[in-house]
Amino acid sequence: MADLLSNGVSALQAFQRALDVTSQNISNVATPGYSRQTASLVTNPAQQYGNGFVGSGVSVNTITRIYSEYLAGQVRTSNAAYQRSNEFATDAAQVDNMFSDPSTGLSATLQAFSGAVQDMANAPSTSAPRQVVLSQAQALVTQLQGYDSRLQTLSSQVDQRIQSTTNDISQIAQNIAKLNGQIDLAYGSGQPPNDLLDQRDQLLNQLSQDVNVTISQQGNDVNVYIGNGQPLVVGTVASTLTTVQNAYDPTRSDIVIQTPGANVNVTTDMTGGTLGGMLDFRNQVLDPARNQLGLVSLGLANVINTQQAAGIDLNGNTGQPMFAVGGVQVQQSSANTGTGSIAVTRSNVNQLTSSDYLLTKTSSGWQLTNKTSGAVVTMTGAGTVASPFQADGMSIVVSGTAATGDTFLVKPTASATAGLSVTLTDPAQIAAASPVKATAATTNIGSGTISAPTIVNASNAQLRTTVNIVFSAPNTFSVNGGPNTAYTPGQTISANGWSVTLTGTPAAGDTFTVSDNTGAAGDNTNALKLAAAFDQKALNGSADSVNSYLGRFVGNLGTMTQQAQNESNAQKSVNTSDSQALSNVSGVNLDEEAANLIKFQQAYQAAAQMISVASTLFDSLLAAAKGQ
Amino acid sequence: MRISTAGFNQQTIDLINDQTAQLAITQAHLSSSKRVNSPADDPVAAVHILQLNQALSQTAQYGRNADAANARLSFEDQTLSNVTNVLQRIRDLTVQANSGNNDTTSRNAIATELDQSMQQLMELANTRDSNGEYLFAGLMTQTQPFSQSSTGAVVYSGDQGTRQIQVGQTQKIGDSDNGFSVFQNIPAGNGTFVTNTSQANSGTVSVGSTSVTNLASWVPGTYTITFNTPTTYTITDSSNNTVSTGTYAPGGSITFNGASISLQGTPAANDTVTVSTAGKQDIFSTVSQLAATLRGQLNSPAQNAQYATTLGNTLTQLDQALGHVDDIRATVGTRVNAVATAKSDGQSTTLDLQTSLSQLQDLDYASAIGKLSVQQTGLQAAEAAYSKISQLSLFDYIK
Repeated sequence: MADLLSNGVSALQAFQRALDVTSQNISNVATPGYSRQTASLVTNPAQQYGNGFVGSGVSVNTITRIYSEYLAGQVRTSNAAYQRSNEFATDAAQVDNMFSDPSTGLSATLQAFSGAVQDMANAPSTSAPRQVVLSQAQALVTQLQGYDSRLQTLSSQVDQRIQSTTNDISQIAQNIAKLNGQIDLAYGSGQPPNDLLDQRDQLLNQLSQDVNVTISQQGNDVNVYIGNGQPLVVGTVASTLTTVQNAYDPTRSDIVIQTPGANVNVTTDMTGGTLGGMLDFRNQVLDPARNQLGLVSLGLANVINTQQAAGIDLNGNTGQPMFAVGGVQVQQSSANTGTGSIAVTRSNVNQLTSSDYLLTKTSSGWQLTNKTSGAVVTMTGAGTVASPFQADGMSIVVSGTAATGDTFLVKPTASATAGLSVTLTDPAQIAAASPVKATAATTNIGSGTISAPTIVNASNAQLRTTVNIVFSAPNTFSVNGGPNTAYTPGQTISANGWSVTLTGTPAAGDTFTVSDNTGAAGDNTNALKLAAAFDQKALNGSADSVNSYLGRFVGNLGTMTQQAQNESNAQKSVNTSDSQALSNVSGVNLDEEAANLIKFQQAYQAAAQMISVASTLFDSLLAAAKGQ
Repeated sequence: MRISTAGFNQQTIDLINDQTAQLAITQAHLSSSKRVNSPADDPVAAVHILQLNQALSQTAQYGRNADAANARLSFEDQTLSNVTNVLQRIRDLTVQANSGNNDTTSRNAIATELDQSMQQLMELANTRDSNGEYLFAGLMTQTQPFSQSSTGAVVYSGDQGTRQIQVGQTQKIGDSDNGFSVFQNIPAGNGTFVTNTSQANSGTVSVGSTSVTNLASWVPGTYTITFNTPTTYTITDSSNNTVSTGTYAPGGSITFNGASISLQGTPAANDTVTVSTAGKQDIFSTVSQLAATLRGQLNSPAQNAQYATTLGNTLTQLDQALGHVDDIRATVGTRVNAVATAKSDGQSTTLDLQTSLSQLQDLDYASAIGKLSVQQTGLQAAEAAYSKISQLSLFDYIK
């Protein structure tokens, strides 16, 4: 009935509901993820009377949740981007800090080794400085291996975090699917389940912190897609995201999504969020860092060992290698069906790169791919023991029967540091001396002088055999009785892997001899070369020395970390402003709620007053009827 | 524009957090007094700092090497000074032996002292430095360079190498001289030719001083001056061709092919004097030959003449040896100077490198402390503003 009393009652009920909603907002001012609600007041349908339509009061037809799906989507996107770059920057900074200290870092230890060799070069026949060289070599190995094992520890920590984040994602997906069901049910009553909707949005936010997701609304359900369109939640069904062992490396996890058909490997499709940040960190910083550290170890071992072989030690023996390095790491895919195997050795350290490689059996042979660039690398040779495949400093021999499609992962430098060791134990074995010396005969009359020999080819089998250069006339000489050669002062004579320079004016009958240098305990010719070995350009196709390569390595790390930190800061401010925008729409403002309280309170009082007026009118009517 | 209460609080807290984080970074820089704490702070500077540290450590090493070289060279100089003293003493003894009034006893006494001097020379030649390395063994520094064989001849067992010490990026300096070049590679005679009188001579001719009047006309070879008569001579070369002839009076000199030889005494017919191209003499054989000569018989005028010639030749040899040792000492002095120059160059390089390093990595304290106080003020202002604004609420006015 459209009249004063029922209008008043409807108003009381409506304003009471509105006050309830306001109190709900005020109570939840600090609740994260809460969207403010408003009671939607609508006029009751009017009754038609002869003299017009008369309104029948007010009622609350629904409680509206103030929310912007567009802004919420923005927040999710920028959150995923920020979490990714933050994770990447934090992890990269850990690696960056390892190599930063100039006084105790790797560069200082390399210099200490070179310095110890120089000290030995000042008095090579004494044993104390030689012992210091071996100790410094050991210190170098210890430090390099310390870095390598910290990188390996980081890798396994990242792997564990990948596993737990993946489990997290699956858990959240389960919860979202459950909520989808509950929300469906709740909508059946005809009213929106605002709190459930808020919960579901919170879960979606958490999910986007972990990884990039795409949302699509289907009726009352929210479907979640992950990676390259893989469904994670469809309606009330959630897929499970889990980790399996990487096909090549059992210590590493790959991410798969379990579908009714089979498991789909989605590792490379996981971008954004902390998961994307960790995967990017592993691919762009951690693995390359370990490879490059390995190349540093290979480089220093190579130059020192090669220089050792070019000299002789205190016992007169050709210098033996001072360092041993770990071998090439080869892993076959667990999906291989054939029985093939490959063996890889390093044939030329100068041509090695810091990339990993994939060797695949094709229908027509074998194909080598650089994993970092994706480019195919041309190989020479046949892959047999007699003629191995040669490419990028590696030498590959294949054996057994591989099936087409079988793949092998080759890591030429990663394990070099872990297997690094000092192989010399006796300080006398450091090859400080040159293998040959040049002598002028004591009976020489002329003014000819012969320089100390330079070693051109240390592996020449005849290097240390005696060679006589005899002058039959001041301008003519013959080498070991060979043909007569004309002489000009300053001339270079080469034989057997060495070369000498003759200057001055020899007389007829003068003889110069190049012979074995055993017994020259004070000779430091080779030691001086050992001391300068780290500046010798023998890496990256002779573009880098050990020292310059280390500089580039540290610089690259620093640049990557700095860029990641800058990006992280930029993403943070985008995310902050997006969150701000959403909060401005759906957040509770206490002053506004206070004003609403006053408004509805006054309205309630007014409605109560209406009822009291209606009651007075009725009493008047009753009194009028009774007063007859 | 609408703002939510939670959003407003969050915004303020975020800003305060940011400022606190900035403050923490500035504080870290101040505590370490470095502008570059990790390569990410400034990657280009980090690599440059690495290279500068490498250069600094290398330069410091060259300084240490220079000290080692200096020690060896100074020690060598001192030893050579002692060698000069011994040689000088031997020369004095030679002059004394040549003075004319020596009988057998005094000659034997001089010979005995010569033996002592010989031992001193041997000891000096076999000196070891503070590291236990033989100074004059060339590169065979653990092998004693000079030893006497059973026949009394001195044998050199070292080699002819010189150890190079690296005192600069590309600068190497020899830290010693080998025994061959110091004690054995000495020009014989007057450097161009040696003269000897034959043992078969019966006259009293002896050789006095010799000189080279025209080096260009000297043809290397062995020449024999044969006295046909006590006053005439013929000079023949090694193929018996006659080079020149002439007359001689006692005390006169014979000149041919740019060589001038002054003679004393009277030759008998068929006496010969040989003139041959100078080779190398080693100082030990000079001294031992001298001692043997002093112990020889001097019974006849011919033997006296022979004695006089030998002593004359010995004096010439000793002068050559003294000059030779002086030359070597001069090169040692030059090398000591070069080492000192290299070291002081290294010190100024070190200063330059440290300056560059400091510019790159050291904190500018003034600006950092200025930044610190600005950030502190900013933080205080933000906190004060927040405390004021957060007190405003409509609820305070609803009774």
